[in-house]
Amino acid sequence: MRYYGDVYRPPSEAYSLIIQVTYGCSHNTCAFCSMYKAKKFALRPLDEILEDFQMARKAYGFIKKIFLADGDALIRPAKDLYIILDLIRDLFPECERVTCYASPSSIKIKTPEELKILREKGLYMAYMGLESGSDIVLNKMRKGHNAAEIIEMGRKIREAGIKLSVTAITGLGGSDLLESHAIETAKALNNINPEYIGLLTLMVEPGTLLYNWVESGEFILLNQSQILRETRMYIPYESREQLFIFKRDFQSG
Amino acid sequence: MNHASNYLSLRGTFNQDKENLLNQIAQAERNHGLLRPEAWRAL
Repeated sequence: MRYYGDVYRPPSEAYSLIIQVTYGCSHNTCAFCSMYKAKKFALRPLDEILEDFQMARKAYGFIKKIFLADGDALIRPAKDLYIILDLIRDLFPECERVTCYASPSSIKIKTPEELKILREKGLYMAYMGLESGSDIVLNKMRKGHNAAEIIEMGRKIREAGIKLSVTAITGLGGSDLLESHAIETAKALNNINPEYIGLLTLMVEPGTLLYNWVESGEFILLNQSQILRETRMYIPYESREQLFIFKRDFQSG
Repeated sequence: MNHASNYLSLRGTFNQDKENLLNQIAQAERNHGLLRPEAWRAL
């Protein structure tokens, strides 16, 4: 398998076969995110992807889980994803689940029928970042979507039978917007009602807009007490059956 | 690469673990020694 640049995956995909189907992120403007800043977004040539899967089949005896990278793999045209998922079924009959990152934009451009076909062909779950349920925070962080749009797209992919894992970022409102960020995010999570929720804690990475804002004093980071207070505020709003995961382990891969 | 780590490791299923999660947070609020050091959160 050949990899280009830093490759990220959710903690729950630590033991998955990871194959890049895109390079970078189609949005790549979020003020807090450094993940794909070094890469220009591109669709990876389909024949290269298929070759990588052939290589993986030769290299590994048993593949239980497959993660399609990079950011927003779901942005590829549905017909490409059909080919990829069909090949996975042929080559890895033992594979129990195929997952990928998704964005509101990539869900938006798929029809409900296309999403259903993707599910039938083996796309088990998508990971989508809500980040915040507050439009003020989303706008400030240049997420490119308001909360209503993210909620709508989360519901849309779930209606197709694809499971959804949603992440939000504690501390993203800074100390100024701590309460509204927490309350609105909890409401949005309840509205989407995804199978999994991951609460990440904001970390400031060099090379991001947020880093500059913190340096200039424009954005005030939360201290540990405030992080805990905000975390506590998410919980009473979660009222339905769902697995609520705060990331546990730290592994790199 | 993984995402950055949180200060406090929590995991649970709603609604059954709600009280337990709140208790763990309350415990950490009383004792910050339970939190992961900043340097360990790095990417």
